Amino acid sequence: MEKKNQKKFDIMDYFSAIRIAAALLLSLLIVFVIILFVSEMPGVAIQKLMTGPLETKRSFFNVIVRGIPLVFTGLGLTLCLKSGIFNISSDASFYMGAVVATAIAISWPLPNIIHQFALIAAAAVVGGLISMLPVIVNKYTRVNPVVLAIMANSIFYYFGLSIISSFFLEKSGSWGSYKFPDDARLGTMIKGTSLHYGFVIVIVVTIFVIFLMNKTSFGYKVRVTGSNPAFAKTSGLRTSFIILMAQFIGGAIAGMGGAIEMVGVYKRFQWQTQTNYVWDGLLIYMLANGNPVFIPITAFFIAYLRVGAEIMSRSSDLDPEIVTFLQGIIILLVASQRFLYFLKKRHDQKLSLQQAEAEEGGAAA
Amino acid sequence: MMQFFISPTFWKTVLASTTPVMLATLAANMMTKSGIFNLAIEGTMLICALTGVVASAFTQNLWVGCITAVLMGIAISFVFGYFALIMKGAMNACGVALNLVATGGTVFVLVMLTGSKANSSALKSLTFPVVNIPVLQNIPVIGTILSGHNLVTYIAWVIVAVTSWMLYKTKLGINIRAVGENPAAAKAAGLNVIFHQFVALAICGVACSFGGMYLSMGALKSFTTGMVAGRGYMSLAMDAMSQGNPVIGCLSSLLYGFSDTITVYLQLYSKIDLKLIDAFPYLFIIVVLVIIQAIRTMTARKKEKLASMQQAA
Amino acid sequence: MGHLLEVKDVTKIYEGGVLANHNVNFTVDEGEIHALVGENGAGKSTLMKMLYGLEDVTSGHIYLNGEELKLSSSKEAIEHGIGMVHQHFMLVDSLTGAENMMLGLEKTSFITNRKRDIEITNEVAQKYNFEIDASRRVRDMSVGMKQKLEILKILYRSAKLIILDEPTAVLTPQETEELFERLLELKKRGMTMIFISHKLNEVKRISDRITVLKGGVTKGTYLTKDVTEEDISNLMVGREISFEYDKEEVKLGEEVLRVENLKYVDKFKIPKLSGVSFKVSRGEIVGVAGVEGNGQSEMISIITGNMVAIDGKVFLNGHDITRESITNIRKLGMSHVPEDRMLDGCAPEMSVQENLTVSNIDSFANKTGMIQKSKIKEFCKNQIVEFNVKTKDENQSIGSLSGGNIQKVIVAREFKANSDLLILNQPTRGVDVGAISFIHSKILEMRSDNKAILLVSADLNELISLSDRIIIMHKGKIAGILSNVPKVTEQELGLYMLGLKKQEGLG
Repeated sequence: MEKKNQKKFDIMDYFSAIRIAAALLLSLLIVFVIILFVSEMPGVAIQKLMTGPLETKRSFFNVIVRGIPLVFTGLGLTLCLKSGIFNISSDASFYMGAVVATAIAISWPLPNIIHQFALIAAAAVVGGLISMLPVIVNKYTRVNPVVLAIMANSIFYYFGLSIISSFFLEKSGSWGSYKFPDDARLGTMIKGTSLHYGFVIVIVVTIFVIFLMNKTSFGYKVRVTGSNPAFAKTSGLRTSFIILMAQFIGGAIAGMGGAIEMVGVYKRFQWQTQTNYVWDGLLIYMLANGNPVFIPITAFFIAYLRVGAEIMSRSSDLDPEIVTFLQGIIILLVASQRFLYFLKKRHDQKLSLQQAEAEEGGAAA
Repeated sequence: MMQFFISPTFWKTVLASTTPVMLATLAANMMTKSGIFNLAIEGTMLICALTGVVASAFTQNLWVGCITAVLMGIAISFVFGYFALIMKGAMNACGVALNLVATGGTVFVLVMLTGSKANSSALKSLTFPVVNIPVLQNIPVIGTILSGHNLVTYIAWVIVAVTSWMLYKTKLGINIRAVGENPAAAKAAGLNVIFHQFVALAICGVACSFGGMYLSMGALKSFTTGMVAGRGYMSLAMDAMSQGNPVIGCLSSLLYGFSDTITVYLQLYSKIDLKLIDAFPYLFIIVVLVIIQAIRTMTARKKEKLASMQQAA
Repeated sequence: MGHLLEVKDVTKIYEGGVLANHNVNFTVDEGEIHALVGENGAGKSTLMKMLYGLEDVTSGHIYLNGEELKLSSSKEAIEHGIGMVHQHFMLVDSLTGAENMMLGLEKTSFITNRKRDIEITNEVAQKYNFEIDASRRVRDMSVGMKQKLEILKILYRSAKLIILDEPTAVLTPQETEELFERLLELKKRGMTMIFISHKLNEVKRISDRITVLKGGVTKGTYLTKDVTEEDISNLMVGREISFEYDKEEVKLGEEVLRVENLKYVDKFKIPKLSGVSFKVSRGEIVGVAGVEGNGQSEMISIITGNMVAIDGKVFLNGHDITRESITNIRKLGMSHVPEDRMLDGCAPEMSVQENLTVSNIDSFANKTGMIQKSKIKEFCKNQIVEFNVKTKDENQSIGSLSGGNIQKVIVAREFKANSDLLILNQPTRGVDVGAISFIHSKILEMRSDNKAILLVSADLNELISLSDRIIIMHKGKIAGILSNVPKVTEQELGLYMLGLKKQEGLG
């Protein structure tokens, strides 16, 4: 009898993973059904979506390159969200990080290596400061920090764009900044692909975040504050400071991501629209269940879907934005606590009654 | 430059550009009053903007298009309600999710129906007419400001007025407010909390649908990707300013119209970079929010001081 | 003659597995005032919520006038003639008295008629001899008026059975008198009432019969005239098993905690602490007894830094900590086992290991802030063994452990933090017997180790077995300090707790 109970324990421990996997499968199924109804060639479409990126060397590395900014955004969000604040201003940090990188690349001549480090560091600092704003403004206006974070994304987009327009715009040809000097850009890692050295940096940063969150006292304090703020306070943790620090580090990572994406992939600043990586980042965070170890996996998974969708759109009549639609469905299902809840409920109730009867029996004896 | 503030055309433009935000703010007010935090107002407006265009184009009937969009608005709000209230998903995540569904879904459908990723001009969608109010239009100044707006603008005013009346003068309104302010008390009094929240969601959906339709079938003649452009999020800030009160919410939304119209004039007549001016409404609103909160804190402190002095006496 | 209400073998398990009521049995007769007593967490509120349709019954039956009652909402409860006056008022602050009166009624029209509503409210108020201002917003009403409104709401809905949950907790003595007059009048009209209260003198005064709840289980129903306040008190707070420990002779060290003339007034303007002074020295356990609501919670909140006193001072090892942050107070040498372990005693989603280290996490980190995993693992494994925590391993989520084991983890954490002062607030509440005696032995160990311990507990047995001195709190003041603890009886403590006995000249 005891062995049976122990087995059930094990399955229920992985309840979160089961839920997420179920949500993913169900969402994919919904999208497949939509494709079936809407496309003239559903089979081709689905095949391209699912296996397209593996067909050429170029598209495979494209997945990795597309995944790099997503990993940065996901990691940045992990820091911000784990402290208990839904601060989704990563786009503001990311975009401004790219702007700062552009500024330093163009107007501050520095030798190779130092130049890149300088612009990445500056982008990190700016991104970090921006990320703290929603929390600070919330303290003084009592406006929901989520609303402030979303507004920050727009405000800094306009602000950054105007900085480029005013100071760094090349007056001829298509809209864009001056070209980045070679010693500001990140070189190509593998010839014949678009893979740049940002890949190395993102691995380092991932390890850093895993280390920070899981192996340092600071990361531990952030997680406790996010898990139960009342407990954190009663235990003597300085919650305000911890939350602000977490926002700064999260924003710094997002800022770095923006800089690296800009000087790794592009030759000039040409981002005329908002980057909108934060929404992908949120999904990545939720699929990884907030654990930084899984963020690269889920980030590259999303990148894979996006590249797959683009390949699909080239060979069929469907628009790649269906992936955004899919992301929304996944989040809805993963967020619903009641999804598959009945499994857990029955299990918990049985357990509690057993325990109570055991304790009362023990007391009577 | 100050001539603009005196010009009636300026104020007319303010009223016109306020329309979508006024409707979104009303939607946000209803959400606050019923105890819900609905980020998906932005996405709902976007979906309805496209729905109205598509439905009116395919049926060549403005009212069928309108009703379809309204029903869609209610449906989307109900989906939000289902996942957030019944399936107990975190409201933040559900709102974000629906906005993603809207962004991706509208582009996908747009491309499917028109082949264009930018706008729906290929579709022969209909628009709401401009209305010139008979007697009013002849009154100088006031007539220019108040008459000659798109029909949706007037519908917006009616919706705001009717909803305010409903909230404060009818049983349904009191129930919704009770449910939002103190769900435990409402439940203990025998009210069905979920039912009333869904009523509020329905009203939210209707307001969002008209907000979206104003953009794609009123101010402009077609749907453009991303045309809501943050107005839905802005309305949440307006709602924060008005603390859920629709009348004050309506006035706050005028602030948006004001700042938005100013940006047009700033762009024409000042040397500041165009894109920076686009940020102006957001910054303006945050500044106003800070000031209002400061005033609120000061008056609250004065009240406390007064109360404790009375006690001592 | 049948009973008006019969509760038979009712059990309630909350989501997440918390057992609140287990096989509860009692009856209520028509026209009587029936008191329900029990300490915090005994299951009274849950039982009443089931009677009122706010929670569903996990197993068991409720019969009203012989017919089985299955309620799925308070609306249905109201339809059956059951009304409830909640401890925390169920009123909507921004609405007026009249609007609250009419809330949820189906017979009112769609368009509200303000005048008519105010008229009706005044009529009802007059009929039952209550005085309220129907046009005033609830947030501007006094506490007494709010309660009258609550009762009027119920009467207007033709209630036959009224449940009152701690009705006098927030009233002044005069308001309490008024309330009792009204309740006795209602009884004359044939109304049946269930009266939940801690205040045993009131229970004695106004009830016909009393049912005692303890640990989610009914401990018996008695005729009020047959039991004294002391009897009730013993049933409520005593445990079957008495603890007798061999306490070591420990020499008293220097003073660690000193509290001087603490005063506190809450947001309802009711004074909760009216000048409390005492001290705790090394090597002693000072117990704090008192019926809940007499100022103990406020006092502990102030000492631990969660609240600031209106007047008075708190000293820890000579430092003035009256206005200090929790962070600094802990650094100066205080540990705290809070009253509600799930609220702020632990992070339920995190593992046992992560919960064990929050007070001293920095001591495991080296200069770069990195946690030495092996050191922590060893520490945690040792604690689990030393404190006899029944868990799969240190990585199991603490929320899935039983209450007793969670408490042991919290106690382990706080005791191992090397503090001079230990504040223990209901350390064995909701904990199984085995864990209780274990925790007790650990507390005595700390005493032998020259720590200063402040122990707040509703378990009088526990207080007598462990404390060197006992402070009894009553109405925000210290009613007595007893130093001859081994000779102190629960009965004597009960007398102080109920205000029947008092030492003169105390702060």
